[in-house]
Amino acid sequence: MTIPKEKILLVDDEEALRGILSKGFNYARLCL
Amino acid sequence: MRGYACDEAENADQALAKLESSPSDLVIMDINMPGRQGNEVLPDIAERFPETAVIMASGVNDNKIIAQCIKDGAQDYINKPFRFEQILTSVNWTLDKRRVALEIQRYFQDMGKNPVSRLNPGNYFSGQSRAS
Repeated sequence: MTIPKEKILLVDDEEALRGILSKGFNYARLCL
Repeated sequence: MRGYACDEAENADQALAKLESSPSDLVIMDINMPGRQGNEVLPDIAERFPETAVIMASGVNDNKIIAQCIKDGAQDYINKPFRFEQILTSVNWTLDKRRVALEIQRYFQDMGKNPVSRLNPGNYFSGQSRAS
């Protein structure tokens, strides 16, 4: 069974945060 | 780690409009924003969207403001500058708690018991309901 992705609304926040949360922790590590 | 579906709003009014048209599981919101401040709109979100969890993320480091945000329904308060691990831990923990709170609420509803139907899963820290 596939669990649907939970949805996060970012209000007036940094673009980097969206990348981190939408692509996951490994993406964040790549950005560093 | 899995990723999450993300949406963005530029200010408080746009956030409320987006929540109205397409509910989110979690809101991450700054305090200092154009228009209404995040801590001003937080009680509105908690009351109108009780199944949506809120994390405040801000450079404001005033203990009174932080405490008030938690009282008003925020599940966590993250200080800027962000640390990736801190954000991901907070988001995962908050969504886990929300999932459990909603499961408990559904369980009691299925049992035909009403009191928990007033539970605001976003307020499990205080155990208080905003939806009364």
